[in-house]
Amino acid sequence: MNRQYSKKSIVVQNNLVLKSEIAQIPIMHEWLKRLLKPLANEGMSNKILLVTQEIVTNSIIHGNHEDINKKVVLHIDFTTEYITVEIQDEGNGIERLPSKEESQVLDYMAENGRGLKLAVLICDDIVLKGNKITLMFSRNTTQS
Amino acid sequence: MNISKTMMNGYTKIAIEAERLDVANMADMKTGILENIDDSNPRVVIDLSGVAFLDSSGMSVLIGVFKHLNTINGELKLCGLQEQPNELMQITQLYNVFTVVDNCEQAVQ
Repeated sequence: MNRQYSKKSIVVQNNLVLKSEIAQIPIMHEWLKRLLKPLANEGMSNKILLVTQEIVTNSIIHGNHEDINKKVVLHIDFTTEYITVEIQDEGNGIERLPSKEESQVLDYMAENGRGLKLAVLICDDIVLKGNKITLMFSRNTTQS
Repeated sequence: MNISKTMMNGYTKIAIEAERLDVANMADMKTGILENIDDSNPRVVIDLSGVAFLDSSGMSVLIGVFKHLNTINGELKLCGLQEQPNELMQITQLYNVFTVVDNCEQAVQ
């Protein structure tokens, strides 16, 4: 774990590298849950755990096609303002994210396809760059 | 992960004991739940009080069970939702689909 101290905020960074198999999801979940415990309340932790798990699952299945030789890399940043989760796979990337309006129209009887829409609905901001997605959770609006 | 079944007031009550119902265990969960449903008595209550975390894959298990019961004129209720599964139900608007009861004893009345 690296610690950097700035004039305005304390930054804690953490990284995790996963093989592209669904069996890695519980490992990721427990790792992130432990990391979040001293830094966010239960409500905020639950949101971050859910969205991160959805995107990592997408990366494993759709990005890397469950090829265990391919990696999914997580990078977590904590500042006084935001908790940021960056997820990168080795796939070709997504062309675009659904809009907030599109995400609110959830086909609730579909058994698949909710992960990205949930991310758009729950995160305070999302940045997409090819096969890297950055999820941002404000510590002010989500009552950390 | 543990799935148990009891019969109460004509309902099949299926209790799930698993910290998470998610992509990692969805296949076993779906099989386990469907195995405990008697198609000749398709009134089912799923007790989720033992589940602390649900993702969209876990949600798809519940939807799959709902669809199966629909095809045999059955009934599905969910009960005992903890905070995170409850929030997910609200965000995905699945409260419009499922009958959700706080108290699992009331669910089998």
